[in-house]
Amino acid sequence: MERHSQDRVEQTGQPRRRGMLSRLLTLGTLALMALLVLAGCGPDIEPPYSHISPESPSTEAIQDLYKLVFWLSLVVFVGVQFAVVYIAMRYRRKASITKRPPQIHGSRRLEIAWTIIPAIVLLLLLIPTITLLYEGDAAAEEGDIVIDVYGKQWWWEFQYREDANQDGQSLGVVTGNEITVPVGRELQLNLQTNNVIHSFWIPRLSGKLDLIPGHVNTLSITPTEVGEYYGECGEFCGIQHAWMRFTINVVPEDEFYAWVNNWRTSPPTTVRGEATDQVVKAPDAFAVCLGCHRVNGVEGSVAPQGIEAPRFIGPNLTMLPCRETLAAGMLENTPENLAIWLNDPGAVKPGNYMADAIQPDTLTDEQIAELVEYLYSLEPEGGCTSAEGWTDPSVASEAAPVPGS
Amino acid sequence: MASIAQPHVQSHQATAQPVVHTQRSGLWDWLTTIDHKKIGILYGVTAILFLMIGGLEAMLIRTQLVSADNTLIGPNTYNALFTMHGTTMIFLGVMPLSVAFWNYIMVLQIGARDVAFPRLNAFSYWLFLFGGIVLNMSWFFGVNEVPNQGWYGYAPLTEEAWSPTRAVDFWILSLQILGVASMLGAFNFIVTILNMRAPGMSLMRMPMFTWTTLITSILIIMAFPAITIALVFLMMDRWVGTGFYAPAAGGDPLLWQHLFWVFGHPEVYILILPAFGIVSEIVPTFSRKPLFGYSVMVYATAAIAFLGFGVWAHHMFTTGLGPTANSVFSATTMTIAIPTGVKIFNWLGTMTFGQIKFTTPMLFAVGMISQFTIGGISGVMHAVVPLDAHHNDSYFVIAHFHYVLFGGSLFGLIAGIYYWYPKVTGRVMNESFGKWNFWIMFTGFNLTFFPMHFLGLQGMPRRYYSYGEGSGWEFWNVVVSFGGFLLGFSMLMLLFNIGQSLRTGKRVGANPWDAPTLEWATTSPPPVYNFREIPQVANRDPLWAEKYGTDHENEDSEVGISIGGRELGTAGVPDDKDKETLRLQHAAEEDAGHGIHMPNPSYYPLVAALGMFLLAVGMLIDFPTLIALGPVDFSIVAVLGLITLIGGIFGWSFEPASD
Repeated sequence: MERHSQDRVEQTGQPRRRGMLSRLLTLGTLALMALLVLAGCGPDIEPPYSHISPESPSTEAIQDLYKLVFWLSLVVFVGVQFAVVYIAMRYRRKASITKRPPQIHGSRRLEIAWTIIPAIVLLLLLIPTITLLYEGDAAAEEGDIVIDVYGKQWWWEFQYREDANQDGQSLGVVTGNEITVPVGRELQLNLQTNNVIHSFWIPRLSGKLDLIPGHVNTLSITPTEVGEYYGECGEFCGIQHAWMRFTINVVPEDEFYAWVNNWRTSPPTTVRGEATDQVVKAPDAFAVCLGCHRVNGVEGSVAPQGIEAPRFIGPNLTMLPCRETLAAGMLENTPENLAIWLNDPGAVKPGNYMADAIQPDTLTDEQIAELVEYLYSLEPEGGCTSAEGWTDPSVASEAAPVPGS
Repeated sequence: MASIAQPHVQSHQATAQPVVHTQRSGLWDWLTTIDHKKIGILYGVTAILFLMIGGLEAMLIRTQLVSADNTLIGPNTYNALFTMHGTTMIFLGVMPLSVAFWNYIMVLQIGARDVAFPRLNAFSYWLFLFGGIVLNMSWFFGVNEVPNQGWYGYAPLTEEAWSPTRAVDFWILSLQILGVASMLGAFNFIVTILNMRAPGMSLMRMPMFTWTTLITSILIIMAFPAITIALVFLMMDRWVGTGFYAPAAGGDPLLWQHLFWVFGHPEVYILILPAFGIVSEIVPTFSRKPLFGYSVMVYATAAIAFLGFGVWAHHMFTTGLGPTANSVFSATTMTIAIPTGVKIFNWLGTMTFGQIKFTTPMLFAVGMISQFTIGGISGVMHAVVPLDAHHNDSYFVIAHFHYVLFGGSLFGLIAGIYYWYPKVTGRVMNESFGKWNFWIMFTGFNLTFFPMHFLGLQGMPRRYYSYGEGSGWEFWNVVVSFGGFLLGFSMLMLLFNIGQSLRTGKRVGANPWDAPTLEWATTSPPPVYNFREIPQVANRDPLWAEKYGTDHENEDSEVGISIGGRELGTAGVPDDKDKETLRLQHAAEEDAGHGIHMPNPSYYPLVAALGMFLLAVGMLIDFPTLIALGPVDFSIVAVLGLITLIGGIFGWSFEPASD
C-alpha cells in the first residue's frame, strides 16, 4: 500500500490533490449553504408539536442527550460523506493509466481500527442513555396529581383521581381532550385503554408512552412554564388516528383550583323536568346526547366512563365552551362548527362512533340550535379558570353531584 | 489453470453438447419453466410490477399530504394506501427483486447449472405471484375490504372487534402464502450454495453476493416461522375466537409485537443484505481492485444477521417494557452499528487507490453507500431510547427506514439491474440515460426523505391522513411531495430504460464490465445449461486471476483454500496434484457419457400453487358452502383448491425428473 501511494504522488503530483481538496471544500460549503437556505424557508414560528423546544425537566433531559447524539452524528455524517466524495473524485480512472491498481486485499490494522473506534463512540452514547432511562423510571413512581388517562377511538378521557386531595380541595374532574393543570406540579398519568393501542405524546412536555389494553403505563410530567401545550396520538389506532389530539393548559395554581371548583359546581340541570330557581332546564333533545355523554350536575347523566365504557361512549361535556377544539382537534370550537358537527358528525369525521347514532336527519335544525345554545351556556362567568364561578349563585351548588368514577 | 471463460457461443445448436431442450419462449414455456434464469426473470418482472403499484400508492399518499386539511383522499382510503404501500414494497417489491438476483445471478456465480430443487423454485415463484394477487385483489371488493391496519398490523386493532371486514384476512392469508414461498426459496438457495458450487470454490472463495444470499436465506428460515405463528394466532383469534391477543381472554396485545418484531427486525436485514452483496460486487469491479477485507466482510454479514435476532424490542421502546429491557435492547442495537460500519469502511477501502469508473451501476452503488450511512446514523439515534420516545412513529422514523430500504436496498438493487442487465439480455442499458436516471433519482430521493427528518422534529406522527393549518408541517410537506413526484418520475425513467434497452441497447459480450466473478464467464445471455463445462475455481476473483494473474504479494494469507480436503499448494495457485483433483471432480460432475443433463419443464408447481391460491380465495370470498365445520365454512372453491393442491403435489412427486 505504501509503495502504491508513492506511485500515486509521482503520477499525479501534489498540486492536483490540493486542487481537489479545495474544490471539495467549496462544494461542501455550497451544499451546507443550500441546506441552510432551505431550512430558513421553513416557518419561523415555533411549531406547536416541535419536540426540540422542551418545557419540562424530562424533555429537557432528552434534549441535552439529543445535543450529544446530534453532534456525534454530524461528525460521522460529515466524515463519511466527505470520504465518499473525496475518494470518488480522487481515484477516478484516467485514460492515461494503463497499469492496474495494486491488488490490496485488506489491512488488518485498519479494520481493527474501524471496529474499535465506532465501539468507543457507541459506548459514549450508551452510558448516558442507560442513566437517563433509570432516572426517568424512578420519577414515574411519584406524583402530586394523579390522572387516569383513557385512550378512546378517537379521543382522550382524563379522570383526576378523587383521592388525590390537595390543600383540602377534592379533584375528581372528568374531562375530554383538554385538561388544565397547575404549573410546577408533578403529574402522574396512568395510561390505559380498553380498545386498541394508542400512544400518548406531548412533544414539548414528554416523550411517547403507549396505552395498551390490559396494561397500565405510568408517565410523569412536570410542566415548568405556563402555557398551552399540544398532544397527539402516536400509535396508529384506526380510521381517525390523525384526529386524536388534545391540549394541556398549564396555569398558575390558583387558576387550576378555580377551574376544578367551577367544574365541580356546574349548575344542577334537568332534561325531562321543568326549570326552577334552583335547576336549569336543558333542551329535550339533550336526552339523546345523554345516552353517551355526561355533563356534571345534569340529572340522569349516567353514561359510563373510564375503562368500562363501551366504544360508542363520548366525552364528558362539562364546560364544553372552555375547550379550544371539537372532535379531538379537528374543528375550532365555535357555535357554527358545533352545529355542523351535530348535523352530521360522520361527514366531518368519517368513521367516528357518534355517526352511528346521529345521522343528518336525526336532529332537526331547531333542535340543533337549542342544543348549541345550551352547550354554550356551560361556561362560568369570567371564564373557566376564573374564581368568580357561575353567574347565578342560586344555581351554583357546593354539593353538586359528582358522577362516580 | 483450465480456461474459465467459455467459448463465445453464437447459437445453442453450434455447441457439441446434446440433450438440451431448445429454448422456447411461448406462454406455455414460461408457465412450466423450471430454469432458474427464466424464474429469475419472472421474479424480477413481477417484483418491478409490484414496485410500480407500491410507488403509485406512495404518489397518492404524497398528493393527499401536499396541503393542510386536504380532503382529496378520505381516511379509509388513506389508511389502506399506506398499509398496502408498506406491505407491497417489503414483501412484493424489494424481497422478490432480491430473489430475482439470487435465482439468475447467484447460481451463475457459483458455476452451477441450476438450483438444487428446480421445481420447488418454480413453486416458490408461483406462490409469490399468487400471494401478491391475494393481497391486491382486495381492492376489487371496495376500500373497506383493503388491508388498512398498517404493515405491522398491531393487535388488537387487527382483531375482529376492531377490524370486522375481510381486510385483515386478505392481509393474513397473503402473508402466509408469501411466507411459504420465501421459506421454500430460502431452503432451496441454502442447499444450492452448500452443495452445488463449482469445484475449487471453497466457502471463503464465494463471491460476496453469494455469501449474502446464503446468510439472508438462513435469516429467512429462522425469522419467518415467528410471523407464521403470529399470523396463525391472529387468524385463530379472528375466526374461532381464541383470544391470544385479547386481554379479556387472558391474552396480551404485546405478544403480537414481540412475535412480529422477532420476525420484523431480521426482515430488515433480509431486505438490506442482498443489496450489500450487490454493492460488494460492483464496487470492486469498477475500482479494478478486489474487495477490501473480504473475510471481515463475511464475518460482518454473519454478525449483522446474528445480532439482528437480538434487537427486536427496539421497536417497542415506548410500550413500557421498563428500563432494564430497554437498556439491553439499546445496547444490542448499537452493537449492530459496528459490523455495519465495517462494511461501509471496507467499501471505501476498496475504492481507495482504485481506478474508479463511474458507470451507472457504480453511481447507484456509491449513492447507496452514502445514503445508507445516513439511515445507519439515524438508526443509532433511535437506539438512544429517550430520543426514540420522540422519534418512534414520527416522520423521523419514516425518513430513517426509507434511507435504509430505498436509499440502501433499492438503490443497491437498481445498481444490480444496471450491472447484470447485459448478462440477462446481452445488451447494456443506455448509459447516458442511466446517469440522468441516477442523478434525478438521487435528487428526488433526498428531497423526499431528508426533510422528513425535519417533520419528525416538528412532531408529525406517521399515518396521519390529514393535518391542520398551524401545525407547522405545511412547508416541508410541500417539499417532500415535490421530491416524491420527482422520485416517481425517476422510477418511470428506470422502467423506460429497461424496456427501451431491450431493443436498442448496445450488444455486448460475455464480460462487458471486466468483472471478476463466474457469472461473467459464460455468454450473455447464458445458454440453458449455463456453462458448457463446469468451471474450476482456484481464486476468489477467478476471471481476473485468469486475465491478469494472481497478485502473490497481496494474497490474503488467511483464506481457506482447499480442494477435496487438501490445502492448495501456494496461495490461490493450484499445483499439479490439485489440478488432478479438480479434473476428477470435474469429470464426475459431467456425468461422463451423458452430456449435460437438464431437468424437464413441469406444470405441477403451477398447479400446486394454484391450489393454494384457490384455497385462500375460497376462504376469503363467499361462495356456496360445501362443508361446514363448526364456524368455518368450506366453500366449493376452497375444497377445489385443496384438491388441486394435493393433486399438484401428488403429480409432482411421481413425475419423472427427466426423459
